Formats: sequence, C-alpha cells, structure tokens
Amino acid sequence: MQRKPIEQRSGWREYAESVGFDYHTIGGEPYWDESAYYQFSWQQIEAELEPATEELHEMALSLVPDILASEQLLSQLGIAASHWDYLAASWPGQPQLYGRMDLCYDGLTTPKLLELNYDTPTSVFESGFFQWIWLEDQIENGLLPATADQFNSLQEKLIEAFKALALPQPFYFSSVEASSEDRGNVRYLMDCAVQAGLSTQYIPLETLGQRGGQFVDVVGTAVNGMFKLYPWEFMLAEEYASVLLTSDTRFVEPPWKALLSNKGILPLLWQKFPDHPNLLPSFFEDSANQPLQKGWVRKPLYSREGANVELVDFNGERLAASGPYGSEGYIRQQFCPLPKFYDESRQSAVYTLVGSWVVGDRAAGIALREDASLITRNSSRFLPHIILD
Amino acid sequence: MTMHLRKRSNTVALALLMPATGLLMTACSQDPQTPAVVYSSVQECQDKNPQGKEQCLTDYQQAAALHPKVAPKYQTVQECEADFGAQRCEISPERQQYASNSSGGSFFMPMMMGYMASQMFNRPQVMQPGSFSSAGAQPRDNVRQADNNQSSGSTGGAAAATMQPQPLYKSRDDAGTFRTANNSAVASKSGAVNVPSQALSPRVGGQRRIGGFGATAASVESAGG
Repeated sequence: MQRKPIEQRSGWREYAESVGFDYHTIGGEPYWDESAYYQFSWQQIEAELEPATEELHEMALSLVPDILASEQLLSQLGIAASHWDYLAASWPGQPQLYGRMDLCYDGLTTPKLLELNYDTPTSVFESGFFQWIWLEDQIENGLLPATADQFNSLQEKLIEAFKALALPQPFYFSSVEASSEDRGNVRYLMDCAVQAGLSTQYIPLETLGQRGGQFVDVVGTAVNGMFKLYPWEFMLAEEYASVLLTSDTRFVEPPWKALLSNKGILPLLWQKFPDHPNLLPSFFEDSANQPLQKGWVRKPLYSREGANVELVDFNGERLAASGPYGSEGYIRQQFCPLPKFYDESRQSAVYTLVGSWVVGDRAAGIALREDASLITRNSSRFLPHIILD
Repeated sequence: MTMHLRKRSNTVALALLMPATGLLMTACSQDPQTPAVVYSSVQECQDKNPQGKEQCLTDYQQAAALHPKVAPKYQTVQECEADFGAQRCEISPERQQYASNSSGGSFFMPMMMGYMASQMFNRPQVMQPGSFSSAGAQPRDNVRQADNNQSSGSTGGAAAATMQPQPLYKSRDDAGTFRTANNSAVASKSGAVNVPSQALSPRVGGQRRIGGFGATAASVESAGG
C-alpha cells in the first residue's frame, strides 16, 4: 500500500459536473482528490481485504437473528419495543442491497474493522463510477500501465443486485432534498437500477405522504417500494414511525439494517467472536464519566461521519470531534492508528482509511479516504486507487 | 507472473444524465434568461394575439393539464388556503381518482391563476431536443455512457426557446405576483417576462412538505455516512 503523486486530468472538474458529481469540492476544499493515488498489491487485495470483508460481513449478519431473538440486546441497541416485530418481519426475507465497512489497514498487518456503515453508506458514485473512469483515463494518458487494475466491481454488482432483489415497481428513490451529496448518491443508485431494467422515480423524502396507514407520493400513488438514504434510527423516531407498522412498503435498506448501523454491533461482534484477527476489542460503556484510557476510542451508538468520536492515542494525546450524537450511549473500542502517509503537494502528513464495499454478500471494491486528522470526517478527501504488482 | 481475474467492472455507464430532481443546475448570475409571456386567461391571450387564437388555446390546455401534476399538494383545505387564500383551492383530481377505490381523504391544491408560455414570434419551426445543461451532460465517448434514450421522458426535450406552457399561481400573502408551481416568482402582471432557466420546467410535486420523515436531517450535513 503506497501513496503516489500523479498528474491530474485536465478538465476533470467540468467532466465531474457534467455527470452530476457537483460535490467534488466541499466548502472550497477538495473532496475528490486526484493529485495522488494509492497502490495496492494483488496480495493485499486478494489475500487480505477481500476475504476479510466477506468474513466480517458474514459475522455481522450472523448477529442479526441473535439480536432479534433477545429483548435484552434489542433494548441495549436502543430499539423501541414497538418496532421489534417490524424489524424482525424483514429478516431474512429482505436481503440487503449494499453496505460499506471501514477498515484500519496499513498494507502490512491484518485489516481491522473500525465500523460498519450498513444503513446509509455514501460515496458510492465516486467509488463505483468516477474512480473507474479515472483509471481508464490515466491508462489512456500513459501515466499508468495497462496492467493496472482496481478493486472496484461496484457498479456491476449493484446492477446484478437490483435485478436479484425482485423489487416492486415503480421503485422510488429518496433522500433529503437539501443535500446535493445525498442526492448524487441516490441518483447513481437509481441509475444502476434503471440499467437493471427497473422503472424508477425520485421522491424527496420530505414529500412522502401517508394515507390510511400506507405511504403515498405527492399525487397519492402508493409507494410500494423505496430506497431511502436516510437512517433507520431517524425513521423509527420521527412522526411516521407509527405508519411503518401498518405500511406494506418494501424498504431498501431493509428495516433489520437498523441493528447493524448501530455501533453497539462492535461490542456484540467482539463478544461473539472474541480475539478474531479482524476485530478490535470493543465494549459497551457502562459509565460515561470514566475517563478514556490511553489507546482507546469512544463512539456514540448512533454516529455518522465521525461525529462525536473521541480518542486517546497510545501516547495519551486526546482528539475529539464535535457533533449532534451521543445521547443514546457510547461504546469503547481499542485504538487502531490509521496508516500515515506523506502528502507531497500539501507537505503534510495524512491518515488513510479503507472503506470496503459489500453488495449482496460479496466484497465489491474499496474507497480510500484521507484526512490530516485521525478521525475521518465527511470532508475527508476521496482518492482513487489501483492494483499493481 | 500470476494471472489474476479482473477486479474492476468491465464497463461502467450512466443511463440518466439528468439530475433526479431537475434542480441540480441552480441559478447564478450568468444563468440565461428565457423570454416568455404570462397570461391570466386564454381570453387575454386571444385578445392580444388575434392571429394566434389556436396557439393560445393549445398553450392553455397544456398548462392546465400540467397543473394537477405540479401544483403543491396539501392534506387539508385549511393548509392550502393558509398559503393561497380563501376559495383559492381545489381538490386534486388524481387524488380523487385514487381515493375512489379505497378509503381516505384527498389532497388539495391551489387553483391555477394564469399560465406562462413561449413568446409566439420567438418559436423555432422545429422543436430541438436539448437540456438545461447545454455545456455538460454530453457523453464523452460512446463507450462509457449508455444510450441517452433511456432517460425518462419527463426530464428531456426542454430546449430554452420551446418552454413547456406551465400553470401559474398566486399566494395569499403576495396576491399580485404570478408564481410557478415551484414557487419561483416570475411576473407581477400579465405580459412579456424573462425567466431564469430553473423556472422553465416545473417539477412534479410541490415544495410543500407533507412528510413525517426528514425532520432529524436538519441537524446533520448529510444523512449518509
């Protein structure tokens, strides 16, 4: 695993905008960054990242029936009793579309699971489409050898998965309208669904209505199936939570994903698979007042984009990210230092996270994010990667 | 040398190049303005265009057909009248149709108070296919992107000079102003206007939030992760 500088393609911003990637720059700072790329060996992909991803996925799924059968675990994960049956009814009949797990991996030691983004994973367009185009372009430009490959079968697998899921049509795709990034992600997934032969329609989540206990669109047509880029824990707490109980809408991701998007899954994995080489020791925090020890990280049960994460590294240095989460409780996970690289163009150190995609039940590729901070945030830069021995 | 199975997709493509909501191209100072005409009724159009009476009728009919599709919808007549004024709301026809074979209430929408169409003398002879994003959205080459014809009909074909006739509304608190279904103010009286491109094509569904989902999103930048 190496970080290598490379010349940027001329006109890539115009091209990005022409394909709807209008969030390539966020708040004046680059989000898509092609001033460098990461290079992995075939061994790192085929012997480490790919099998670790599929094994961790299998382990995570194995927890779902355990949790659904235990009132104590459901309560511990903060799922209201009123929705236990609703979640259980979706398992195992409604398989997942996709998920992304974040790994601590330096190319040398075994990948460790940092967390699962299994309900509302984003960066799917830049992973599946835009970095693929980047590689083809750079091979064409002669800057990368034709033998270079990429761990990225995301688009192919998404199209296959949309075919296999047997979804009601028209199948709706929804996101919060105000977020162009979320809309971009949803638009790409909708595009994959269209290529899988589905009839699709976009609906801003805020305009979803209900009548007689069923979800309807703005002209009153029943919404029989809907992809939602919106967390289950929000949906289970908002006004329409009660409508879920009477509605026949097939949601993607399915309701049982509410269990896996909760950081409580990390201590539960450690309990079920203690000392597994791809897991970090993790525990539910029983007293929030207890100070964080050296080499530990504290994460809220519900948290996205690194919000409200606090860590103390092996030297006792403390680092914390602010955010709106945390009222539901925390877990503690052993600190795994992200690999550190040197960014020559910025003359600064960067820390790099490997996001590993799962579509259906198969590993489908990786997404690299780097940041000057050890806590990867929504604004962390996305860099392309290649495989080359 | 070991042979490896290819690890990336054999091909990637985009079938839908237009944004999902039609709102991706936001207005800015360089946004081209398109000339159009606002009429409060067919009669007014025909009075002003004695040579174009049939065109007036066609434009009006197209706008009226679009009206129930794009008008903002409300769950109660009170909510609708709060935005558009007493006696200024009606029941959405699609809603009634849907309600007839199952129980439940109806949606309400404001009445159409006028319409907007292309200027008659400014119409090209042939409708040119096009899109809002005149510069972008072109396939870079014929390998990477799938056939554009897969795009849905509702987003294509709105070249600047051939805007689709669309209904206009007036709100209770600003009763002098004609507004599009998406709440863009376009004129304070009938007659010629220049409208920004984002007002050219109304989007299905209104800005009115009828949802019970979405509230928590206000506290986070992105609902994803």
